[in-house]
Amino acid sequence: MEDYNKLFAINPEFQETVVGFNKSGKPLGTRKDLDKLALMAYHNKGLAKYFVNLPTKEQIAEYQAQEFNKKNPAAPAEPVTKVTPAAPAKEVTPTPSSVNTNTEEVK
Amino acid sequence: MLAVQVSGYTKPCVPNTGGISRVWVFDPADMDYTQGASPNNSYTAVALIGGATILGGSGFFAIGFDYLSGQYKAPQSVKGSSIKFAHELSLHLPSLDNDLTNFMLTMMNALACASLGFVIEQNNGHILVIGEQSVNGETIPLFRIQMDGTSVDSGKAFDDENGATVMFKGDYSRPAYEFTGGIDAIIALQGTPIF
Repeated sequence: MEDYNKLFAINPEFQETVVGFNKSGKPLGTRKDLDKLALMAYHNKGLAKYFVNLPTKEQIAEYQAQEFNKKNPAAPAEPVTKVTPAAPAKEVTPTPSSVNTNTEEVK
Repeated sequence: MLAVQVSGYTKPCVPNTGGISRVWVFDPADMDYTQGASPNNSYTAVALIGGATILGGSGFFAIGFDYLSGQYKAPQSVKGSSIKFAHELSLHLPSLDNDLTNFMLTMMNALACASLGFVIEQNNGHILVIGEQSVNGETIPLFRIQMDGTSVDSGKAFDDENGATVMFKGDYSRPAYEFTGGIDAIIALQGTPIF
């Protein structure tokens, strides 16, 4: 994964700029949620100027997926046990004795 | 669907409350809102427009009003196929003094050729924006809010209200959008009071 600071690098002149989003108004140079601002920049072109290079939507999605996986680690895998394949089942041909001839009503 | 796309409304399963908690006024020419990044079209971000700076006098300015005296409403009406929402914000500001006069003078400055924008934080936590001018870097149709209908009253008895009930009104084609970027985003962009 590309480093967060590299992927969402803020132009030096905007390090102290405040953009209010995601329940915070900290300067851009200190934000750790610039992935959200980068996504918004695809709706508001004016926000793109804050980034050295606006990441692509795919890069943002990949970053967010990795962050999600970090915060939600998958459950540890079950220990692998060797499974012996079962013998193929034999085809059973119905015989008169195997056919249920009980016609009594079940209560 | 054949004539018009309609949708239902899902009632939020959380307790609700009425009233206004806090209000900020801003110069609509200073602020740009971002819309469209969330599925419900709310405003998700706000930033100063290029050239506007806090030190230069831009920003959100808090209006201190008497507790539970604020109200925002926007009755809707229609003529033919034209729709109007009559936005109206009223606040009671205590103490008839020169600071109050100066505040009202600054609001009057917008009467001639400018407008006013307001951020309204409701007691239920939802934040509304009225009077905005720039969305996604583009100028939207004029959403003009002005001080109109303000009443100054000294009261008579000791325990009468003393101050002004300031009113801000403006018609627009739709209800107010919500700002979902959080109140801290607004506070961070507060301007420096001039008085």
